[in-house]
Amino acid sequence: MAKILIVDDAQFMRTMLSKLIEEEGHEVAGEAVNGIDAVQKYKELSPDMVTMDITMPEMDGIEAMKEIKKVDPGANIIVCSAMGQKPMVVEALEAGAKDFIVKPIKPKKVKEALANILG
Amino acid sequence: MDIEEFQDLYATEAQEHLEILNNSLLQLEDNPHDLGLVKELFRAAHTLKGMAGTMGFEKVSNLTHAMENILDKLRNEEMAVSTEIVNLLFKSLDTLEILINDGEEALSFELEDIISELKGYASGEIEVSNDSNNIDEATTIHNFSIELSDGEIKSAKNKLTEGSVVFLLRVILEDDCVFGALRAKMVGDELESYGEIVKANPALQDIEGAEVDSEFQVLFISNFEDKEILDALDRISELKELDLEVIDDLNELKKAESKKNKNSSKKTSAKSLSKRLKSSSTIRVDVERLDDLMNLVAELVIKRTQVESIGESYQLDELNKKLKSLGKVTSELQNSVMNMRMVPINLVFNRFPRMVRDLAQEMEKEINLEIEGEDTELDRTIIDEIGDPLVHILRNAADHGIESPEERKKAGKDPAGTVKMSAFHEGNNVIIQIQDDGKGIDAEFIKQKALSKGVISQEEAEMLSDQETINLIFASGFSTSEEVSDVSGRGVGMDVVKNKIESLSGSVDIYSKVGEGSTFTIKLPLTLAIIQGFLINIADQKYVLPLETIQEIVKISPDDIKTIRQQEVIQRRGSVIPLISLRKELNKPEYEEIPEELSIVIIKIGEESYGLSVDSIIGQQEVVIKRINDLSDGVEKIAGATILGDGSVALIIDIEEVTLGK
Repeated sequence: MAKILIVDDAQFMRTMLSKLIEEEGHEVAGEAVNGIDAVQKYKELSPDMVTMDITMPEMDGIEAMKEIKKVDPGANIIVCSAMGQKPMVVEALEAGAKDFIVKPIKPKKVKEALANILG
Repeated sequence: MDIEEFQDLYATEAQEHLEILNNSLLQLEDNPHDLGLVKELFRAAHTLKGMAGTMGFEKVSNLTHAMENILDKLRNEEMAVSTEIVNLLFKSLDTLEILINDGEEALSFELEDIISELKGYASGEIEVSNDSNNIDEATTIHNFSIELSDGEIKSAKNKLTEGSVVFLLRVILEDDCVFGALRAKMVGDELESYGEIVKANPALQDIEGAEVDSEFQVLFISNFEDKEILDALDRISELKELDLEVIDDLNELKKAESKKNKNSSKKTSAKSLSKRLKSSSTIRVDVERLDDLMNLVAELVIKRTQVESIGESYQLDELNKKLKSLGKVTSELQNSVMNMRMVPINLVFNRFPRMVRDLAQEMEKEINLEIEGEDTELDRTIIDEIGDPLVHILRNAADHGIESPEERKKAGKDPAGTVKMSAFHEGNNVIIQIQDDGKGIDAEFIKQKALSKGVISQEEAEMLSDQETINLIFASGFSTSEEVSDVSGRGVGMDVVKNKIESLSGSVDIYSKVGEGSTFTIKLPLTLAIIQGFLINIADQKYVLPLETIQEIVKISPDDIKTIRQQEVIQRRGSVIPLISLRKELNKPEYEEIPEELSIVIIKIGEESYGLSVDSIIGQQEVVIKRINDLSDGVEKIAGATILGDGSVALIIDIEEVTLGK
């Protein structure tokens, strides 16, 4: 069982992700609603994995990811992108994202990503 | 030349083509856009037509010809794959099966009907209705292939170092993958850490702009094992198929060379969700010949043991040394013969997707069949025998286990039920599990039924746990189905399944929870014929116990034996286990005078431990099981016999039988 931090500004997405994560037998360590919140929660909770939305107020997911990588270079981060964000996903991958999922989210894909990263 | 001679060969090969047709069609139903599958279907139908034509089987050849016409249309995308077409093709396959297996005269209906239907679709006279399975957009399957110029070959060769090889990786993406190019990039990045990329198609540099629809290829040099690379790639999401091929000769990839010319390369594949039939270089050998070889090896093992015992009794050190190395060779020989007899369980499993599909349609249920571990290998003899019991259990799961979609929705479940079949190795055994997420088995219902049928007494009923009760469905004379349905009824009960499995030296167990489903666990020996035996002595006769069941051997004093409910028991590690006197079980006289110390062999069957009291212990030995036919009365507790090194015969104790009811 792994501890996972969910970062997304939409309540709906957070609820859906946490349900999927729990179904897979993992624990939701916490939820963050923007990039700044995410970096802070990461430091507090040191989760095993993060699901990171890209478009968020205050600080976007890619910035947040870079901040987190500074604290913990080995952080396991999956980015959640929308259909039109291909260049941003590329940036995220270059910055060390371990995987990506594309919205609208399909449970199967989330589970696959969880399994691939957490083994 | 007498064409009749080829009947057997025709039958076997036709059977293989039928299997390919069936498998590919099943996959096509799920992936209607995969033209590769259509091509495979076409090839198989075409080959079959040719074979049947040669043999003079007109009906088979006419039918395959009509199928070919439809497949040709599909292949050229002149027609879309639809449910109607798939069903019609399935119907044609069923007809072919009858024609091939039972002969051309066996058909009870007019072949013309189905042929004219096929012709109708092919000529466009019958229109395909627009259902959801039609091709909605033109997804082309790219037949990418990497080609190298002379200069590229040269520079790649320069990069090759001691111990490194050239790999060609072919990746097929999942159908609903959105940013295919990014997956290609992730694969490329991962490969960089294992070696150097020579070339990719499409090129990885301009991946951001490139569109990768469904497939891409990367040629790279690495000195890692193919397995390590595949394992690493396996962690990247949305990859449906990974094929890693070792390219022995780079010139094969020279521009304008035939793409198919890759015979000299080794192939390993992982994660192939849509299974491709593996082509490997094999020769066909009659099972009988293998059996003969197996028997000869078995004899050899016996003779070796005999010579060994001479060496030991005369203490001929020189001889013993040589015998030791001879022993190694015979063991290896024995292993390789056994390996030859091993075939993947897929031979049995591959007919189930079709069966479950048909059952589900027939019963108006939605059932997903998941198969795992189909590469697990088992002895040919077991494979031949295990099919029927599995069919029976699977039918039961589909019929009684999985509920109707409405019922499932009401219970808050996914309307589509899942039946999972898996096979894996566990020690010297192969475990096959059939797991459904249906309604489970109601222990109380079984108990009442067993009582009313007189399978158990009221007293016994009170003692049984729920799981024990559920296992009563294997008792003879027990069938839970209220009304015998067409599907799983057929007058055979679960007891037949159990008997069959036990005759293969296996066991079957069921675990069930109401509302959550049932799991059947079948345990089979990897191979029959030779077992690791444990020799014991009872009333001056030698007997063999299967070594794998033995937990430990203890010495106890007769005072340690207690009696609970007329059953002798002993205490071991805080738990009470039944004590079984083998003298009593084997109808031997009781001890004239009770020894001060008793040797007890503790065995474990499933979750239960038992103590077997024996006179003395001889030791471990490899024994060849000889089946004994027509067992006379009083020896039903014997599973077979074996010849020992000194030429004497020892009987193999059937421990399932001995522990029964204890």
